[in-house]
Amino acid sequence: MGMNAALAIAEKGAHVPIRAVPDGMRSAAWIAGELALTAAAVLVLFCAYLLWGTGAYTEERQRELQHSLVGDHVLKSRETIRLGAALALIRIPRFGERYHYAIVEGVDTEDLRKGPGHYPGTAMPGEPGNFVISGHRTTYGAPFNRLAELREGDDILIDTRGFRYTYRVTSTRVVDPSDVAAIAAVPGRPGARAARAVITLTTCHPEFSAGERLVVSGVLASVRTHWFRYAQERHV
Amino acid sequence: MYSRLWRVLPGGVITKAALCAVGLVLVGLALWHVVFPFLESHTAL
Repeated sequence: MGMNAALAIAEKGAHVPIRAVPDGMRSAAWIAGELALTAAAVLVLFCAYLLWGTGAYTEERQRELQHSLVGDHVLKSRETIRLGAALALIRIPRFGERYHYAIVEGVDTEDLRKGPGHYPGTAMPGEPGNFVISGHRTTYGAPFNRLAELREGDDILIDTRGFRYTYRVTSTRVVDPSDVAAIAAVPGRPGARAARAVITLTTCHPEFSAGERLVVSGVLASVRTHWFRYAQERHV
Repeated sequence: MYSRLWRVLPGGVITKAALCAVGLVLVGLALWHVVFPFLESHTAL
């Protein structure tokens, strides 16, 4: 190949025309990029809503429920409690002195948005049987977010109008959502007659998933009256 | 898309910016109070 021919090929190669991207395709790509960025911004905002927006809602409902507990002088029983109303206060010392939530009667979606909910039909605080409470692990204030930190021997305090019931944690385990034996009157033995008072706290497991349930069980360790102190105490 | 929207907005830069801000706030409120609660109720957490 002569020098001239090589130069001609090189020159030709150097001038291979680059095919221009059609205007329509370019603007479509631009719009797709803008839409992707917009979707990302909406997703970030949705996460913020889940973390803080739902928490603000629960905080407001809790304020109302705790006020109603302080002002309500009726002792709660199966007959007097209505769905969606405050039943008692739950305190868990391991989670700090400031940890307290009003327990709502009912476990419907709307009930659990207000706070931890008591399964209707299960035992009332202190009664023989299983006092079952369910709560959100994430979103809506995440009252049971730290439930996995509870250890055997930890206290769970339930304050009603006249009494403080102290339950002591006996076990923590993860079960399938279909395993309803955990909320039976005698946990693990559906149909058995209850002789002692136990408590069961349930929440989703793992965090941000409803695939399993985290179940914390405890037994009633002590009951003491605190009518006067409760009436004086500021709960909200 | 957004550049086209910007061009069709009336007024000068300040007016356009104010209209954008109002639009963003309205969209944000609609998302926060209508869309997100709906989406959240269909999200198992």
